[in-house]
Amino acid sequence: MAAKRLIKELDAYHSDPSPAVAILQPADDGDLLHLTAVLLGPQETAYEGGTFTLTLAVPPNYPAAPPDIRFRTPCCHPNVNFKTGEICLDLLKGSWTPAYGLISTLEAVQQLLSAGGNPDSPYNLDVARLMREGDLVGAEALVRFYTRLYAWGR
Amino acid sequence: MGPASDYEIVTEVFTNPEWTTQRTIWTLSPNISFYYDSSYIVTLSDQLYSPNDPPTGLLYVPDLKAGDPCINLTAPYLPTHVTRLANLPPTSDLPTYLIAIAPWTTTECNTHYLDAIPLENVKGFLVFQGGGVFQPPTADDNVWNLGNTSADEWKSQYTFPVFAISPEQAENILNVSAQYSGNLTDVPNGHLLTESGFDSRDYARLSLTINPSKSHPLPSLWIFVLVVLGILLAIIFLTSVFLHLLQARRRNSLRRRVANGEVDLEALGIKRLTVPQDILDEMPLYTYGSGEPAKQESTTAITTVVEESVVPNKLDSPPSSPPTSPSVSPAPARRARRAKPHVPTTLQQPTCAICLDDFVAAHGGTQGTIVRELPCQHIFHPECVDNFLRESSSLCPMCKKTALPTGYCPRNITNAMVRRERMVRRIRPRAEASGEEGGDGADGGRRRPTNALARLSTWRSSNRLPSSTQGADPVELTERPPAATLTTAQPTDGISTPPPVQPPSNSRRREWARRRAEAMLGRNQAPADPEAEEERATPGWRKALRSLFP
Ligand SMILES: [Zn+2]
Ligand SMILES: [Zn+2]
Repeated sequence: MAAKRLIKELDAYHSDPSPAVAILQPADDGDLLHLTAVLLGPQETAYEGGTFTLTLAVPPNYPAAPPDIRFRTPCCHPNVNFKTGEICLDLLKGSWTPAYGLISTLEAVQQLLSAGGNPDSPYNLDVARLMREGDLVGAEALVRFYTRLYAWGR
Repeated sequence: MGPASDYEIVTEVFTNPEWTTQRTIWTLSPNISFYYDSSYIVTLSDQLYSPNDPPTGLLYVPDLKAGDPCINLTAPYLPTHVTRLANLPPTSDLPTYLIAIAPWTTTECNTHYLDAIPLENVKGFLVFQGGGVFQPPTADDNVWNLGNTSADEWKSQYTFPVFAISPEQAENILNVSAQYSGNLTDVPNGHLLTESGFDSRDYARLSLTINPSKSHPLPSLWIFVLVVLGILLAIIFLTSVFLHLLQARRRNSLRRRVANGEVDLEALGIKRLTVPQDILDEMPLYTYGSGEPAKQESTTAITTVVEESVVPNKLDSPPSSPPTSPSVSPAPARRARRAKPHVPTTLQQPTCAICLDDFVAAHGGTQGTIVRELPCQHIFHPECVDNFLRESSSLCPMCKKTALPTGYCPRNITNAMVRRERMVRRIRPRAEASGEEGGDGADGGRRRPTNALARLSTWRSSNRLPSSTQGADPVELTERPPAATLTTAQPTDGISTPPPVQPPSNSRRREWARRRAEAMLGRNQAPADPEAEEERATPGWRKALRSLFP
């Protein structure tokens, strides 16, 4: 079930790529349940120009359960754990429904980047604190710095 | 210091059983007789010792067997006329018990003295270190060992309590005891005693009492502590009972509100529900396109929706796939009866959102796909959606409306559900208020569309982007042949209130995608199953506390 649906999703992606996702492919041949994706930093944001590698672990009961998506490229965002790459997005948890797919979820992750995130449920305390204190310039500079440091030219 | 705190010696006069059967004991006044008390006492053995019945009796020195070398050996510590059994009436006629006293010298003599003490009548044995210092050594001192046998051993062997007193005080006492061993007339102040009316044949002897430790405000302190503990326990118990009753009321109230359809447990993130098989069985199952009931549906469910037939037509039957598109909306009769006249009775998505396979309408010889229609009118393969609803969630994958009938209430309303529901009710008004504040669009990223999912489902069911226009709708899960979808249908989803967002051009496409992705953001950190999540996250002590104070 999961594999069949993943093949369909990958086919759909290849024939009709998403502007947000540069690459989406199985991490290694023969294992469809582990995928690698490259997400483009949304334009006109501090993430612009960054390319972020993510890993997607798809549970066997997919799409009944959401994939586990993590940043491999360090990403500075209040709702992304800088070290582990965990993403705090309710779509990846309780709000998941089988009608979402990998691509739409990745796009939601990109949207999470451009939306700036919610500093009230932070995974990244530094940037969340800056945002809560209203230092948006500071937060943006921090994000831009880390994006340049880790996500450029990869 | 052991259970004995001090000892007290008085002089007693008691009648001589030889001349009278009347047994009377008088305790003499310290003015005219010997009185002594001392706290220099160490408990060596508390065999049969009871603080409630402190050992008391006439003081005497036990007699060793004739010819025992210990007689000579201990003689220096014992005055010649010290009170012995011979100076007392026969034990059967004694009006009171006895307390023995002897020096503690060699192992052999100590054993002989211990053996010489009759078990009946003697209430205790006082020893003093022969030639020792003023204060008796403590009970664990090696002095009190008996040869090779350990202290504990000999103590358990002799079933009377043994105490050690100060050697110096013992010497004094024994000297006085020697004065109080003869006739009444011979004891100190003997003539006064006879003059005051005592018979000269009566006995005047020393009597010793070992007092238990008086440091017994402790029991009353314990009682106080116990009373306080008892009161606390009672308060805890009553509070617990009260809270349990309160919680039971809240559970009932929540059950009532769920049954009335006021509270949607799953939509509020209170409890992840699943759909039982019998409710699943009641959802219509029919052939895609024709609406032919797949099973026991007796009514031929073909309701003509003439005015609206155009819309589903465009939606569900792309020209490339089966050319004969059904011009009637398949709608099982019971659904049609419920539906309002202007709402299309079915949505007729072309694709199963779970497996992404297209539905095939029946035509010619091929059989159409059997589909399951949920109450929200979204359709899926039964093999896809049944499993999902039975095991994962009761919410429609497309629109997140519950597939459970209104008023369906899970058998168990738990306290955790009550707690979450109350929390949701508390948070809701706050969240709505803050949502209005920041509603000017400047902080667009943090605004969460309330009807996001409904909107999403609208897009999905209505927006068909030609793949020729750069990039298709990324959420669009099916690929449509270009020609089929140039006309974008009006939203036929009776549920979604906001107008569909239609991506008209490339320039606005990104904005449109942004808004749609934003719609998917929703609240952060919603657990997969709130209850299971809470169960996992709650530490054990908290659970225990909650079972006491729900
Ligand atoms: Zn399916
Ligand atoms: Zn639905």
